[in-house]
Amino acid sequence: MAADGADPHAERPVDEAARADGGGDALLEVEGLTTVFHTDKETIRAVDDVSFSVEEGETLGIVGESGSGKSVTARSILGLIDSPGVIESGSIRFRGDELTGDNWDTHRGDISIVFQDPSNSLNPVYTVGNQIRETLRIHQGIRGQEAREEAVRLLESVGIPDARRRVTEYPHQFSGGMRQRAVIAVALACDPDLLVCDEPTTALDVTIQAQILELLDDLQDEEDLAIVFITHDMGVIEETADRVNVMYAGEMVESAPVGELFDRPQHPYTRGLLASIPGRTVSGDRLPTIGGEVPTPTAEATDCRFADRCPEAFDACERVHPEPIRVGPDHTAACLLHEEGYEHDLDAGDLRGEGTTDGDADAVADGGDRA
Amino acid sequence: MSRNDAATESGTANESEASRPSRAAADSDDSTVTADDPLVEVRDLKKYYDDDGFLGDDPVKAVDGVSLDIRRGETLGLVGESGCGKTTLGRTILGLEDATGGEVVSDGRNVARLSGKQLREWQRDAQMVFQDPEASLNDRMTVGEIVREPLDAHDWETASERRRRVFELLDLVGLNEEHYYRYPHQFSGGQRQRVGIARALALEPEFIVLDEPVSALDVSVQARVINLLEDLQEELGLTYLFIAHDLSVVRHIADRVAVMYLGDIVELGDTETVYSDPAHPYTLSLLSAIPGSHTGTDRDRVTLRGTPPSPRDPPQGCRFATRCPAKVRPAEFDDLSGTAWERIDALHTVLRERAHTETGLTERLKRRLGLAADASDIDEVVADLFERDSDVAAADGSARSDLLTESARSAVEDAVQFARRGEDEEATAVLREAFGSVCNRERPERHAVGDDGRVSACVRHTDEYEDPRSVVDRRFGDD
Repeated sequence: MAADGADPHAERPVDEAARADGGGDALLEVEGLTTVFHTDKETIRAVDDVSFSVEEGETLGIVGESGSGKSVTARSILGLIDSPGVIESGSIRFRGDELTGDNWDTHRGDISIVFQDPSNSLNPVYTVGNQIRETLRIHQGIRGQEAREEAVRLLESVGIPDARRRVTEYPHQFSGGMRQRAVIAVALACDPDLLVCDEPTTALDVTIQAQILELLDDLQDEEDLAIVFITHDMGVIEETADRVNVMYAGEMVESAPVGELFDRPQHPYTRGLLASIPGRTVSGDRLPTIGGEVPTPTAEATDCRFADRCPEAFDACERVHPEPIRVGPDHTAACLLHEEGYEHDLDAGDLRGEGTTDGDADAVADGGDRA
Repeated sequence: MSRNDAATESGTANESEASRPSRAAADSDDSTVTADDPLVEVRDLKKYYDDDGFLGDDPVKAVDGVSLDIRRGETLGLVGESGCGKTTLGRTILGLEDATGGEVVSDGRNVARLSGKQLREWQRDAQMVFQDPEASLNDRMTVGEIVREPLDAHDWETASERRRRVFELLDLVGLNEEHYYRYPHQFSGGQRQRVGIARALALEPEFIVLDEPVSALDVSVQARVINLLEDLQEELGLTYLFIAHDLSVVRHIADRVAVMYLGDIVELGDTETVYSDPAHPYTLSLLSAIPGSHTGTDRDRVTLRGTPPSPRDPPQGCRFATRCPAKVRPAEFDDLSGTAWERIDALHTVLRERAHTETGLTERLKRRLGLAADASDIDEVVADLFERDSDVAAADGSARSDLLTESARSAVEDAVQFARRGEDEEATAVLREAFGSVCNRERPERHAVGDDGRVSACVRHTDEYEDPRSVVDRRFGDD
């Protein structure tokens, strides 16, 4: 709590008031987070000036295509960025305590992470029980018989039947869904307040995915967990998240409560993302697409990074970097369309269908220009 | 054998009768599509993998008696959970795997028995696009060489003609000439998948098996590849077998869809009717699991418990019986609650899994010597399921008698007796005997559903039983 004395709010940019609800007693506050990777050739700004907060018991969804910086954001929160990556600037506060600058240990165990591929997150040569007990010993100092009982209880709590037998088995004896449950049990063994889930259901079948989402929901209710849920699947986001951050090329381009985002997406990228999901359009119609691919951000942005794929871009988009601004209650978007003082057609938002068709015409051609 | 014949017959009969009107509309704008003109006929196809282990294990029945027609010019979607045999079915149809039984007929040729010149011909006519563009392109060959390889292999025309053909193909899939000299690692995922598609098109095939072609791609890239596939189909009159686990993609691209579970097709019909009004309980639960609100099904989610059983030892009777939300229950247990059935099913699954765990040699030895402490475990499982229930725990320990009726409890206790002695196989049998029904005894036949040629393999489509939909709604609608 001492860190509070340093007044973390001092550095807040003025426009921060717009995205505002984050202040006060948020569990996790991320501000201006910039994580970069230095390579011989260039510096990649994987996460670029991202700010958000997570309240107690809330689920924050982070959505975006691959390369948008979702996973690096997750790893940054846990301090899992290794060389050549480094958190260049920004602050990550948990319960008010600053974590950046090697203070991760102050809250180690309060934040836990579940990775995408359950087969890679478990050690094949130890039993599942062994791996849960290891976490219990390190984070809670529970040992011996007590740890054994607790491991069985944890496996039961994540819905693994016959837990007492299963606890003695090795990961390969578990099916994919069971393995992910076991990974969640390991993550819960340190009794976290915040669970970061990095594409936890992407490797799983839709039926198993439904089971895991249900489980996370139950756990959240029981343990009052806050969850940061990272995925590229809009359907999953709609089902799990309370609020959603849309990421694009390292930046957060839109943030809104989940219902608001799906009903009134304000950023052209979000609109494109929602439109290109198959099944939302009448089958037989062509799928609307977004031309091009996510660029790799290597320098500080001086323009809108989405501009050259954007069906609604106008000339100012090439010159001005849009900041997140308030476009509705508790809803921000970083797009010049919503800023005053630029010459553009305010109705552009309604051109959605047309705009995406344009993008589509380029789509085949652009297959060529990006090797 | 007679069962399979019957199923096959009724399947084809229904398809031929009812499919005409629905296809007619599509025919008018695409002359390559003709109703009832199967390009590939699959009859009772089987593919077993036998590992010849010294322990003499049962073979893995990856594909077990599949019958379906793939019509000229259509896209047939094939969906199911991983491990259900989708990919093996696709590969066996192409002749990449030797069929254990049954046949694949195309243009009067039995593909499974082809050799020599005829086999080469079939290999030109039928191609495959693989799931992972990372793994299916050789990193040490240029894109030009990769796309040219099938032409070289089949001695197609002259060298310069081949080269020209490759440029043509690259153009067709939206790449351009300069890409000829590049290597796969210089391409993005979507572009790599385009290269895979160009390679598959090289020999002008009629039929392409697309095995999860867009699963590894981001949604915006995925949309472009799907559009490309649809364009190519229209332009070249291709027939697709589109294998995917992403149900939304299949809904978008497929004309008809086949739903596969544990080696067999459980439902087959026009995509829109299957999606908007699924007939088979498995299809129903599978579709209800799609996350998000855009799915078009406003039904309550039916969450399936557990994972599909091992194809090494599929359940007797209906394959889906172990997880089925609409399973026929014996009349004498009519008064058991939904929760009670759920617990009984859970116990059944635990015992089944115990009976089939692939245990290491030391574990087997321990059990042989009676060192494995099983007795206490099973009691704990039973206690968990039927006593320590958080909802009813408050009701001062009388919970147990509330949950199970007298006869149900005695059956459960019989099973537990066996399990205590480590005889899991017998314990499973006791439970199956007591709580099983027609679903556990007979493998269901295909029944025609609706009037558009849809078939679904579930006993509940006979007059004797209530319709699967209303059963599921009744059992799961209000909790």
